[in-house]
Amino acid sequence: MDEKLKDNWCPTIVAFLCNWCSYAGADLAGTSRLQYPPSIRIIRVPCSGRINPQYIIRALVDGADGVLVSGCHPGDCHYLTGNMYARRRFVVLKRLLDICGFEPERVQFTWVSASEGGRFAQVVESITDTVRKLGPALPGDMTAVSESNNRSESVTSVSLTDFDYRVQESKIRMLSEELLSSGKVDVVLGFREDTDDGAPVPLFARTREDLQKLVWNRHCWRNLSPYLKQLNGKAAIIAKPCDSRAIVNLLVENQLSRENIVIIGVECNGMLDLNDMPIRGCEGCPSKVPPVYDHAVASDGGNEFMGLPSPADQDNSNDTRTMRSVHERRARFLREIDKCILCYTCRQACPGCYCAACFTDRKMTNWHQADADLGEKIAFHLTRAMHLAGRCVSCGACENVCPSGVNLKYIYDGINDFINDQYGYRAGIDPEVPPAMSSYSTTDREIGFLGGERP
Amino acid sequence: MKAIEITLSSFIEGIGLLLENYSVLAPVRYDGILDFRWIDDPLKIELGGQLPYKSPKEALFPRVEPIIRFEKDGITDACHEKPMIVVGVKPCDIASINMLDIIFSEKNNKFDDPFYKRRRKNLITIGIECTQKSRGCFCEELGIDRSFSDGCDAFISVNGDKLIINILNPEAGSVFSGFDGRPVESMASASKEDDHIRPDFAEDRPSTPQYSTDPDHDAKLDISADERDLFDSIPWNIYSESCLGCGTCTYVCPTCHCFEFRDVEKDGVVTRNRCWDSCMYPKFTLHASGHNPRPTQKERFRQRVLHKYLYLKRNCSIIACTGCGRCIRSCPGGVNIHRTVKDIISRIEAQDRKGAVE
Repeated sequence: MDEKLKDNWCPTIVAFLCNWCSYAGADLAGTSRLQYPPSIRIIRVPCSGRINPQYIIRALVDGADGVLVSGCHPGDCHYLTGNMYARRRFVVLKRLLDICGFEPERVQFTWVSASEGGRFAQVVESITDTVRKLGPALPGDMTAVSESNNRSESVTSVSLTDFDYRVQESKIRMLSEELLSSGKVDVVLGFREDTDDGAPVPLFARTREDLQKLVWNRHCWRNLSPYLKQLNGKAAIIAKPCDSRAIVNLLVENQLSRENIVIIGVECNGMLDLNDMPIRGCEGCPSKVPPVYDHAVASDGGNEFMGLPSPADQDNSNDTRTMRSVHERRARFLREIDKCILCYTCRQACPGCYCAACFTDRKMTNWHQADADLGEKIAFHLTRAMHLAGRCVSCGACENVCPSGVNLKYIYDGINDFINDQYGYRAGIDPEVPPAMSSYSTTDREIGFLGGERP
Repeated sequence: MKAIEITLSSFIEGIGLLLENYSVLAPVRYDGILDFRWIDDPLKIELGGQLPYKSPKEALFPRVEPIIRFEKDGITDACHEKPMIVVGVKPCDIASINMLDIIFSEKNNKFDDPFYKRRRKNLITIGIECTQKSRGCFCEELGIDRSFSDGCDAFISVNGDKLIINILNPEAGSVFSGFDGRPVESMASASKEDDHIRPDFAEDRPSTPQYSTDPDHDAKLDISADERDLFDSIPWNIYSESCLGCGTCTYVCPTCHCFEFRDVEKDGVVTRNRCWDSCMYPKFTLHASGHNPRPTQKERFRQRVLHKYLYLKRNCSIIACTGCGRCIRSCPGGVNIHRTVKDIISRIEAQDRKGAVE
């Protein structure tokens, strides 16, 4: 955009204001005859805690140049804690936009009370100024797709030896037979060989004959945890660290009951595809050992995992992912979603995506339009990333199953690391700890808020 | 029949010349995955490798196809009119295009699809022989000849380091006029020339499926039973147990053709889109009343198998599966339609034997 136009251009800013404080504050600004730019379009909501991050993403995709969200000051919420939950959500959303290369300054959060008419005028002044400097949202360089291959080739994971797998397999078989024949479980969820030389496929063993088909080898990459929800009765599951983490997350969210599951935890050093190349999703796996298990199958067949760091100690933060410039990050994100065909396979295979009706499927409010253009893809992937914030267990199922090879795990990992830094929570480690995004602390930092801390 | 012998580099060069007037869909590698994509650089085309991840149906029946636009001044036609070329289509995918021709045509099905028809008229298909099998593919069992297919406008046979373009449709042959090759005797025998059917939509079409090019290859995967018997006698849940309901199989499938219409509003313009639907989704055939005749994955999976292997055989005399194996390779749960159909057939046979004894 040329400079002259930029000076005269007035951005469109959508403002979500809480009914009790900020909306009244805006009213006061009006009745006090305070001047502020005519750039904002106000939407009154009951509480800042009501604002689904999806509204903000949708506003940006549908043409808003900026979004302002304002609620009561922390401690003043009409509903006592609504803005406390909102605060975490907004901090994470800003981080997500940053990781994906969208200027986080377009989205501003602040607190304005009913008596702060003057502050409201200042806030509008400030965000209009910021957004004007940034120019229109989602401009022409949306299509600036870099040609470089983003995948790092340095995959360090080395699979266990054939011997290890045989030892593990016999141990798994022994345990499963015992569990089935003693009637402790009704079904054992494991792997069997694929008849077309593919990677082993899920086995639902209900009898001892079924167990004859059970295999365990270096190609057992499929994540079995999504199947647990559809099984009736008691089930035993052969759980790799990623499966186990996913189960922990489902337990935390009350989707499974612990007494119905027997977890046969298996040590795993990363799985390989059929060409013996490391599986995409295994890259950056946080641990080799399941965090929760009833029976342990170590690589030497032992009953305990020896000499391996426990998953909670492992430091997985990798800030190099976000070190690049905002344009490079955007180019990377756009290049990945350019491949997406919106088939939602990632969602179906994800152990964290268990909603009975996904927001994309709800046609009454058409949150997601059936138009595979870039905006829709951005809306889908950003919203999904927000839904999985602090819930993703880095199992990599989304990357492993994508028919188009969309690799977006780096976003989820980046958000996970951020949440771990800020709130000390990592999904899928401890079933007793409440999830980060549905809890709050009065001392949560307000990173990137208007008048708050700088990132 | 005309044929041109050409080197690979001149062929690629020739395609480059066509880019001016045509949209070209070709197998290219993108982040390590071979897939059909609309190209702007002919040098990226990869011929003769494994089967591309998704099918070339994108040219005829895209994921989202704008049909009409509603604006303040009236309604405009949003259909795609630019001539298209699809390059490097293997015999199984050629068969799939021929099947879609049948499914979307009035002659063999009850309805004539105007949107498909328009795209089909603008499409030139350039096939290539299949030199490399992909994991899980079983096209031979469905009567597909991997070395030759006459269901396309031109077919490339590989002869050493040279390509031989057999021009099967003289009208479409004009696109090769700028190609730097020399005319040779066609690989296809002259006898085939008389009875070959151009895949022109308007042409008369034989009632027998066109893709069975080799009479020796009769379809071995044939479910011959009444569907009402199959509904209950086959334990469908053992096949669908590991299905996650993601619908990838239907998205990569070259013959899946279920669709729905959705209106999209943007900046005051409403576009009516035809979008892919998938029988694997919970909302498939959901009635306005809230009733769904296929409430669980078991029924939806049954629909997918029987639609391909039974219903279309009855309605259009085709088995709408080319054995390309894409669904098998891409399934996150390891569901295998080949194994499933074989198992169903053996169960039917076992039941028949039992019935005969009694």
